[in-house]
Amino acid sequence: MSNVLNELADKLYAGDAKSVPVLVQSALDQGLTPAQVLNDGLVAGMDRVGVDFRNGEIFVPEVLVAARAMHAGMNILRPLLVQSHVASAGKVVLGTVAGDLHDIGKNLVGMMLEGSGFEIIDLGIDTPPGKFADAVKTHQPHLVAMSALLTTTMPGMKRTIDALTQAGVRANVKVIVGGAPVTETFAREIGADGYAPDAASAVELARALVGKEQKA
Amino acid sequence: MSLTPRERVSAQIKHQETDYLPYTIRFGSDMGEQIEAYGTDVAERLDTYYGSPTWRTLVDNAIARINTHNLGVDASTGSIYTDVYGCKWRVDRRPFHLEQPVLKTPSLRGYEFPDVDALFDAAWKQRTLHAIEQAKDHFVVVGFGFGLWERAWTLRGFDTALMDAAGEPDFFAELVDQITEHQLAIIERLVELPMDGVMFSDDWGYQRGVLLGPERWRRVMKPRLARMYARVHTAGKYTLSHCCGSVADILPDIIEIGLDVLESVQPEAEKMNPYELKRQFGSQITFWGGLGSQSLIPFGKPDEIRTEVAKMCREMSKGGGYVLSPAKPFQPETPTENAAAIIESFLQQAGVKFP
Repeated sequence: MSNVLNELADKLYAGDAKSVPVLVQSALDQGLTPAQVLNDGLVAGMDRVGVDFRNGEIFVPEVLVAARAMHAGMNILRPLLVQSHVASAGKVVLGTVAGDLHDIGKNLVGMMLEGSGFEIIDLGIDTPPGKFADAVKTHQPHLVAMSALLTTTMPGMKRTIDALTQAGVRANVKVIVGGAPVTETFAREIGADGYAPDAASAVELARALVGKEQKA
Repeated sequence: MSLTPRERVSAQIKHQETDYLPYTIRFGSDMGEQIEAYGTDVAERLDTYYGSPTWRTLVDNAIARINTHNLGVDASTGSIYTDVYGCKWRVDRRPFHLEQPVLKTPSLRGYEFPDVDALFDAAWKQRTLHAIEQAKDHFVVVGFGFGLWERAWTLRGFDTALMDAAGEPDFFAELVDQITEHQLAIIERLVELPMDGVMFSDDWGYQRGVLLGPERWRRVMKPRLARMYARVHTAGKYTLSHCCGSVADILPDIIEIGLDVLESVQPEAEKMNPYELKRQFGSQITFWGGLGSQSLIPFGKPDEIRTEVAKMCREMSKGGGYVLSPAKPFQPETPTENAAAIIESFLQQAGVKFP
């Protein structure tokens, strides 16, 4: 792999938001394609962030500064990816469920997914079930990802799945859930397709589910 | 002769077993809209369940928390509240939350912390002394709200403060230094009061571990907290701290700098099983809480709750060092029967037959 992409991955991992856009530009100037810069530079760096975060070698602050650096690089890259019709790893509709105003967990998942090449449609916080269903109709994502921090708002996840069913789009998407009080058992009970205990695991889960769907 | 609640808590902190466990039960956590979604609040539902509010007079929280409301967020009116630090809070939604931190850039240039003398004036002292008097015979703790880490993030924004910790370490160190000096000045006022302990409030943990990471916490937070705890101890008072989430990785450090009581102890968080913590650290610190507010209390069966409370009483009481409590206040979705199971089993272990 080219030196500039290795350096890009390293700087992203280190959260260097000043160097990342410079390196993205210089990689493009060297004739590398936007897809190469994305996959072998930004995604490669973010993958290492994910692995080390899950293994307890780095922590939330490091993930956030890496994500900030990634955004700085994506600002240059995104229009070029659209122009050259590069397919994303998958499309994800993401949101914190109705009644819940917490967003850092949801944002972390969004950043890690984006850093892994997924396209994110972030519906924000306090998202009513109908808004999820509408977004699925409009954007036709592979995945719906829901977050809740409060036991009080966890039932909103079930209501959202019901809304997807009622809107006739449940079969079109995989649903994944997470958030502090959410468990694997709860995910199964409400009929979600998956649960991840942290943002890095959410990426693996998303990749597995989207991969399955694309093979099927 | 029977112990007072205050004596019972003091004995537990000194790791002496008591006739029964001192306990606390908290209601309502400022969840207006969410309460409406579940009907009336838990306490009101219990009045109906028991046919009268008599149960309220039987529940006797051993620890009385007195808050210095002059630093906090007044969420009672309006849509935006600006606190004494200059941060703007959204208060028309629950839980109230930070809308606009005061420090827009990683710099303290031109920023002045609120004047502690003006905030902790004679009127404050009189009000607080009155509250302490009301709590006679109970273990009285006075808190000042957001602790060291929490004040840092309220001044900068949550995500931004986390990023500062990694990306702007010099600024972050200066920020927590200044907060430390400010909070030491507050502690100076608190320890003059005729009370038992200072209640710190600092969520270092999240569900999976220490937010800042254990090493950074040790480097940045630990020495500053050590100064605050030392000041409290010099005045002959106890140190107590609320802390959510998983802090097992730094518990030896927390003990080393002199925290007497760790409150919340969320059993669902990573490595926070109270029985395991008791086995490893039980002789060195007092745990307050530990009954699952993310699992058992909202989603368990009343019988499971009674069984778990009995187990906590049996195992956590060994050698002292425990105050019985749910990890968090009752949330609006708590089934009435589950809240009743907590109340009845707490009262039962205290020798009170109810209903």
